[in-house]
Formats: sequence, structure tokens, C-alpha cells
Amino acid sequence: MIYFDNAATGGKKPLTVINAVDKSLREYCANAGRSGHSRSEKAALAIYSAREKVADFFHADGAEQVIFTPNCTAAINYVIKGVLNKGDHIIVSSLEHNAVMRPLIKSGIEYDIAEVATDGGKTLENFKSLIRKNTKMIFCTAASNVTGKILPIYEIGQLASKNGILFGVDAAQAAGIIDINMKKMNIDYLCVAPHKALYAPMGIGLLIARSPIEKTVIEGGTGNNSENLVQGNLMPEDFESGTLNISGILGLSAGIDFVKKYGIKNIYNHEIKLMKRLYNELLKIDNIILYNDFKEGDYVPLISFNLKGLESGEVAAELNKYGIAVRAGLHCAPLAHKSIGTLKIGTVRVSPSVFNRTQEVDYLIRAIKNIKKM
Amino acid sequence: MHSKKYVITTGTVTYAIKGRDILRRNGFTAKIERKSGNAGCGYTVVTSGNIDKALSLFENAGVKVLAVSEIENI
Repeated sequence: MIYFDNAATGGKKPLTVINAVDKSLREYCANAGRSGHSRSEKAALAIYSAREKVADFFHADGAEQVIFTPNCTAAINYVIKGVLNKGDHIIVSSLEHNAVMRPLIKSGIEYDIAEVATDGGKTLENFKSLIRKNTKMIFCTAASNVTGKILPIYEIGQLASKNGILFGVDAAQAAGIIDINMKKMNIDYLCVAPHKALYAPMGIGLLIARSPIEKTVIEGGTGNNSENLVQGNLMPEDFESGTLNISGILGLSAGIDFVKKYGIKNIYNHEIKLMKRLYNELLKIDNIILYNDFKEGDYVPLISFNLKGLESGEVAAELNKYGIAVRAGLHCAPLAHKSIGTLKIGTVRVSPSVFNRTQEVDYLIRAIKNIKKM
Repeated sequence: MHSKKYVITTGTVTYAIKGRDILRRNGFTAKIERKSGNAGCGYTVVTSGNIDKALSLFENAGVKVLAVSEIENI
């Protein structure tokens, strides 16, 4: 299969990641740091090393700020439900995923939506205009999972910092593709989906918190302070109740090594080159609808499109017959689809990884042209 | 010769490992040990030497300390 659904989850894992997971199951099966025996301690030390690696990769302040979660959605839930209280106000962007909107709406926190414009300056103004006295947090995606649009994270971080507002970022589509520096970008909470562009296994997520989290969302065994029936909020273990996913964590650690070896810039350049090739060819097709201008540096490497007269799901199903995996529909981001006018029809999304090759893009182009002729 | 040994209880195993590494980088001998006895889970850092300096290093690095106890090391 030719896999172009990497914005959903990475379709191919590096051998080093596979080997790390294999090794974890052979040598590290233990309740890390909780059982007290040698293997438990060995696992705890390996997990600590992974925390340090993650902290270094995203420029956090230390290993204790790295919380391992089941996925990015859980991380976002921990931020929204753990930091905000009734009476607080939050500003989110018009490109947010349901991972942000659903916990936000469920929690009953007051929110406003800042429109993301083509121009970053205008986007910033839109965020600024919504700040209120009780605005506690700005939370936004680093890059849209529908259009690929990169938000002006550095500038939004500065805006939040100047106004004493916490800043949370959903880096599901950005981590591993664009450089994220939590310190420089004034990011308080970074939520990551490592199974995408960090090439980790599924089932592991990251919340990196440079500011306190007041409340836990999940309570239970943490390996510390066990005599107390009341859950604490010590970083990071009190936010990791239950047995840790050491296979996922060691896989993630190997995934970060893989990305560092290739270099984020090189990965971005490779993938953007593929998507530019696709974009330029799609432009030549009659009845194609594209949703961005694909200016380099403004987008992460993904393309959403539609073929007039065909539903996005139909196009994806046809491509599947060619052995090509793409994602159709709303991509769990109705807000983003609303902003580009595709809430009723969805789009076909193509998202590469470092493993995709030019020939695969050319095959995809030929397939789309054939489908268009149907 | 008698030297004092200290058991520093940190909030979490992550802080214990971080504390151990900081002490080692600053010339201390240090190791992590699971909390002894039956009073719940948790890890400690066992070290010897200038405890005031050790605790100061912990404070500067944000390592949360819950308790310090002294034991005789013969």
C-alpha cells in the first residue's frame, strides 16, 4: 500500500523504533519505578532518559515536565480540564480539532474562537481582540490537520505572555515537522501525538507542562505517596496514574532519535517538495478544488482537495482500489472545515511521511486523474 | 571512620533520578533507593557529604524534597 495518511497516524515506523519496542517487551516488562526490584528500576531509568530526551527536543526545562499520556487527545483533556475552572475564559483558533472543542464544551468553560486568516498578522489581531479580563488561556493548534496552515505560534505566545495568559499548543501535526521551542515560543502546555511525525507507536502521547496543572483528570496508583487516599498533583507521576506504556515510551525515544538523525528541516523539505509536486499537478486538473495556496513555510506538508461531482469518501474509496491510503471526510475537525466551507462535503487529505517517494506521488496523481475521468 | 549518610525523600521517582544525577554531576556519591518499610511507595536519594549543599542544589533545580533523614554509616 502507498500510504498518504500520515496526518492520521504514521503508516511506517523506522526499524529502530520497531527494535526498541521489541526490546522493551523482552527486557523492560515491569511496573517502572513502582515495584522496587531491579527490572522495575531499570525501566524507571529508561523512562527517565526518555523524559530528558523529550524535554531537550522541545526545549522544556526538565524531565519532570514531561507527562506520558495515552495520546494527544488525553493530553489536551488534561490541560483544559486540569487548568481551567468555571469563570475562566479561553480563546481557541478556528482550526481546532474536536480533541480541543469537545472537552472545552463539556467542561462548560467560556470560550471564543479566533479566526485564522491567511495573513499571520491578522490572525494575531483576531486573538488579541478577544482577550478579556478573565482570559486564562489561549489554546491553539500549531498547524491545521485539514488545511496544513501553520499558525503564528511564536507571536501568539508573545501575546499570551505579555498579557499574563497561559498558552497551550496542540502540536499533533507539527511535532517532528517544524521546530517547536517551548521556551522561545512561551508555550506553557504542549500536547503531542508522537505516533505521527515522531514515528512512535500508537498508544503514546505527550503533555509537556512548563506551568502547573492544578487538577488531575485520572486518579489512581502513581507509585508515590501511596498511603494517601487523596491524589496529589506532583509532576509528572501524579498525572500518569496506572501502569506506564514502556513500549510506547521507548518507541517514542527511538522515534525522536530517528527525527534528529534526519533533521527536522530535511524532513520538512522532503515532504513539502512531494506536496508541491502534487499541488502543481492538481492545479492542472479541471474541476479540482484546493483549499490553500501552499506557500512554503506557511503550511505543513499536507493537501486537502475535492473533485467536483464526487464525494470525498468516494474519491478515497477509489484511491484505496489503487492501493493508496488517504483520509476523507471531516478529519474530526468540523470547525476547520467550516472555516473553508467544506463542513457538508469534507475533503480528501493527502499527508506524506519521510518514507514517501516522488514515484508514489506520481502514481497518486495518475490515479486521481483516472478517477476524475469516471 | 564514621561518615554521615542521608536519605532524601523526593516526591516522585523522576525527581529522585534527577536529584541523583545532579548530585553526581557535582561530585557527590549518590544512588536511588526505594523507600524502605511499608509506608507506601516512592523513591529516595541516598547520599553522603555536605547535605546543605545537596539540598541547595536540589532547590535550584526544582527537585521537590519531602523529607531528609540521617543515618550512621560505619
